Amino acid sequence: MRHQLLALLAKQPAYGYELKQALEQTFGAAYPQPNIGQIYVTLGRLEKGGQIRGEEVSQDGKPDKKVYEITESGRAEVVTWINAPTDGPHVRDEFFMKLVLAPGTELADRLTLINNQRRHCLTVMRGLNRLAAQERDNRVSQLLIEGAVLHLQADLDWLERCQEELA
Amino acid sequence: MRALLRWTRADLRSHRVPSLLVVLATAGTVAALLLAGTLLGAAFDPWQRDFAASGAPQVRIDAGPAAPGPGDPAATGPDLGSLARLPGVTAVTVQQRTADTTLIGRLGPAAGTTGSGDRIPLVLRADAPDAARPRLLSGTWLSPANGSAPGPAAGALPGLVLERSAAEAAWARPGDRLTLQITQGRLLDVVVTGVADSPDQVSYPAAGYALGWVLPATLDRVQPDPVGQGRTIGLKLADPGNADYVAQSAVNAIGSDQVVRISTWLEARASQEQDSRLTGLLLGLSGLAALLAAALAVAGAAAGRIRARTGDIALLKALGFTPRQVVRMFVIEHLLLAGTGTLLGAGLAVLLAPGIGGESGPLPLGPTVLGVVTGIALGVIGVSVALPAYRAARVLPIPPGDGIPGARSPRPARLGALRRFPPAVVLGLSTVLRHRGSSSVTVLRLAVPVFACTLALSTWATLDAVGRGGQGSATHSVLTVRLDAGAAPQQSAELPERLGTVPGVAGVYPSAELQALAPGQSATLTLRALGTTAHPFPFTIAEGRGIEATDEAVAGQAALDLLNVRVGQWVRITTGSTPRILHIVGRNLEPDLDGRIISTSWDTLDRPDDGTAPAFYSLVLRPGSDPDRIRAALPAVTGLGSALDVRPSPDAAAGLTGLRGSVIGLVALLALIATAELLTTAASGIRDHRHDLGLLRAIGLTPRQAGATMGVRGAALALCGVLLGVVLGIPLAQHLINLQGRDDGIGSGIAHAPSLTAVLILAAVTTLAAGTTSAVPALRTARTATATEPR
Amino acid sequence: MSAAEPPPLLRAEGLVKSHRNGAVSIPAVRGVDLEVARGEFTAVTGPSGAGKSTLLHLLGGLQRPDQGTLALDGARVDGCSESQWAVLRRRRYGIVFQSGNLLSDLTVADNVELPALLCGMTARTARSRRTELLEQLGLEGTSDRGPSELSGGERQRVALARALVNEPDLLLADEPTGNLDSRSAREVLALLTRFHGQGRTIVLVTHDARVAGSADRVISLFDGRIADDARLSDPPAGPHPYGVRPVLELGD
Repeated sequence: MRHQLLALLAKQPAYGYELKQALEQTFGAAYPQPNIGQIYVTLGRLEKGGQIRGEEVSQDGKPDKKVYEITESGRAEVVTWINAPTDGPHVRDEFFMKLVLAPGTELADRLTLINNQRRHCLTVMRGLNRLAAQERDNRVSQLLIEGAVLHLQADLDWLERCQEELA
Repeated sequence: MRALLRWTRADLRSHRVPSLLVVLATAGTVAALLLAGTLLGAAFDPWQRDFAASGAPQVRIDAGPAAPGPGDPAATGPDLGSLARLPGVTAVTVQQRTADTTLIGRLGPAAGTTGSGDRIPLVLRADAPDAARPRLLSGTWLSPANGSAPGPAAGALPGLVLERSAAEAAWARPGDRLTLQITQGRLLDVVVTGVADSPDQVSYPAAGYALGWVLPATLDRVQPDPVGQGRTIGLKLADPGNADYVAQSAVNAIGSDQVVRISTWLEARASQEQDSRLTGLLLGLSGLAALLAAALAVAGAAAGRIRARTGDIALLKALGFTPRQVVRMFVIEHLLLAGTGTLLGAGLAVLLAPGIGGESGPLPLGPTVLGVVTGIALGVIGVSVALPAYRAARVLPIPPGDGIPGARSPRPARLGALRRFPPAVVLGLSTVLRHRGSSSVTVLRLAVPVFACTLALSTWATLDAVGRGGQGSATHSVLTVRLDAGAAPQQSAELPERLGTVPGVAGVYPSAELQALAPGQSATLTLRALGTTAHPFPFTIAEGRGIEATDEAVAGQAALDLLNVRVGQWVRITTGSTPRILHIVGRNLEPDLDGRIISTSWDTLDRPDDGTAPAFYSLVLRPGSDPDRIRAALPAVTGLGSALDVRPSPDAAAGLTGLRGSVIGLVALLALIATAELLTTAASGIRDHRHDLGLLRAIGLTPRQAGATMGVRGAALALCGVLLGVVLGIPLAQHLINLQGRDDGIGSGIAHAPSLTAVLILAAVTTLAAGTTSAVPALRTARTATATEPR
Repeated sequence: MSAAEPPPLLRAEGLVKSHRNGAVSIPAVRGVDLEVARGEFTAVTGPSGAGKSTLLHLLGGLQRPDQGTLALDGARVDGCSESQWAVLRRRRYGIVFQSGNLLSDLTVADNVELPALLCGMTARTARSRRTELLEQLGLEGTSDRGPSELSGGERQRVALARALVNEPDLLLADEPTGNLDSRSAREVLALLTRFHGQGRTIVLVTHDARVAGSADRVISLFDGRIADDARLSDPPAGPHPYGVRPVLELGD
């Protein structure tokens, strides 16, 4: 999560809670809700590593808050992160193992495996459809769902290929 | 129904140009057919018009003499006037008295009679004050004052008006004096005051007698005995088709013993309408071919529209249109268009008809012709649309590109030639070759108007050959010349020589014509002596050979049929009382007298005991010379002046000018139809190859090259169509013309193929037009088409 | 199934269909048994060439099976004549194809009204139905335009309007989103879902997993046979209620 937080801090300094809200607002429900504890742990690591600086700010009647600000080394890391090529998605390697090995076990046949996997994919797709309907107004969220949909479509197409070749 | 109408309306609105073409093609065809029908029915059947104009009776009855009575002869005997009460008779004509006599020849002031020497039975009709008069062709009508010929020598001769065929048979013109053999062998000289046309009269010699009109006083001189006189009356019928039945009941009414002669309009027409049947029939045939071509063009256009809309039709069916509704939709739509076209065409024909009537007045455009032609046109178009519409009804209700694998596998193209020839040529031709099925259909469709055009051109060429005369033609241009009866013997002797010196005259042949009878045959034919064995007349021999010896003869087809002989056989005929045995060595093309002529050489006829001089001379003119000019010049050139009697030979090509106009009109119509076909071809080509055009461009052809590809396709298809049409059309046209020639008595062998130039021009124009009509829109399409465009 | 139970809306048994291409016969559907209940949203998926479209055509009478029976509401329809099928289609089916759905010469309004008029609806009723449907589909103001003036998505929506104008028992759609960009596809899908929600029976052929995912039931066709007939249950609820977490998780 460090890169997301660094990227948010590159825009402006923020408190930990503000960062959580920003993440939720930006990604919407499509993104798994960030755990506040995890955010604080990550911020602590970043501060230790010198990528960010924390500054205590006192509040009336409340405990002090820490405002984080990105450092030069942090900025450099964001640049490196953004510019580094991103690896493509992984093939469903686990399913592939099952598909290849299952017939040998004589415990399952491939067609059932493929059908089950397809049903799973379709069910997920159904969930994504609902989510998309729910998140109609969040463009970032829509894009994320779209990406997931396309991956699922690829999985389903690949299942068809598997069926053609193996079943 | 509402859904149908809505679709039809939208379809028409969005396809204005093709719709307009259908309307125009129909209009042109209907107009042409109407005019052709009218021309056939009236212009080339002058009889029809004359008959209608003269108000002549449909049945003519010559009754025997009124029963002899002491007092008023007309008051006794069966009352012919009662025939007016016969069912089906609307009116009767005024009764006229008649007398039978015999015309024995023209009267010369010095010698006896001249002419063919034939005796022509002549029936005289007494003019009556209220009787309808025949139409005068020349001269004047009878009157007590003009009963005498001008000139001091004539004296006061009774006047006579001859019916046309009688005048022709007697070589008589107004002013001529004729001798009649009247009762008890006495002779009566009369003067011809006029020649008239009587369309209800069966013409001589078919009728067996010639007809003339005289004043009642003259009739009484010819047949003073009232018992010897006959009466004639005409019946006008409510329904002309009923003529035979009415004639029969008339005979029953007055008693068959009283009826001397009875004739109906049908017989009269049959005897008079021969001349133009050949041309009429050919025109009609070409017209029908044009109708076929038009029907095909409309069907093609409809099929094209339907093919272009396969997707829409599939969709309509998917939406729930029944196949029957689809058929109905297309048929109704096209009948709507065709109906509009028919209305336009009929209007056009009504407008044009008076303009092409020619000298004999405007053409009547009968409601029957109008009804029949429009009915046929609509019917044919309805049927021709129904076929593609039926195919449309069978379209699968699945829009193209939606799941059905391609039904046709393309053929491989030989593109190796691309290295040597321009790509447009190779690709265009390979397009034609790859889609053999649709290419052949297109070629066939294009071949039909070309075929019709070939028929029309063959008609033209035949008429041209018949009219032009000269070597290789069906007949020769001939002038017939004779001296007036009053000419000096020396002039007669010098005549052949003098005629030979006239410029434009290729040969002079002594001639005579005799009426001949075949044994056992009631009908007569004509034996003609023409030329000599040493100097034979250049007959156009269609079969066998020409005359080479005495007693050899050639005959026209009708004469052969009449005598029931073939070339190579001997025939025995009788002229007057002289039996003659002739060897028929050949069949010539004989335009005269419907071919009922046997021609032999003068020396065959000129036996020692026959010692007659040639009755006339036939001049064969050089090809290309103008018969009218030579005819006008002859009296002066020979120095014989008015003593010379010159007549053109019966003109087989009479009325050609009008016919030419029709042939030109027909060719123009066919051009319109062919254009419609070409446009359909171009449109379908672009529709089918739109995707290809885009691809070709993507591959690297310029739009011009891509367009030229379609141009080459169109041109190649058109060229094949022309070749097919010409190859099929010329032999068939010749066959049909010869068949008709044979039927007409002229004989087969008359047909001429259109000239090579005409065929080449036809091919070039069609191919060029096809290339252009295909290339131009293709060029436009090629500029914009992309390969990815949905089809 | 007990006798009292109403027959399914559509029941196909042993459907077989081959396409002829010259002398070669290519089997497209080889023995499909299928029941579609009223109110069901069924998607047929499968690789291209699996016979999806052919199956749909068979169900709509657009093509005739070589073998097999087809019953609509318990009544056999496989023996119907072409005309009877036409009438069935106009009264009981709505059909949407992948493309080329609109009669190119007709305006949007005419395209939509055509089946209504064909069914004998008066012009006035047809017009009000059309207005209502176009409004529902967000196509107000396109009535007088021609199909060529519309975007692909708009065209498909018009096609949908036309398919629905007679309130058919069964909506057949063959790749209705196949030619559309993803935004238009989503619109069309939303509409289909909405109509399903209103109780319509839908059978659609699709290769689009998203579309298939919207259906209650997904039939996988493989090589002309049904390989799987899956009824999709709603994914289990949870903090990320739709079971999508694994696919959405952004790995670090």
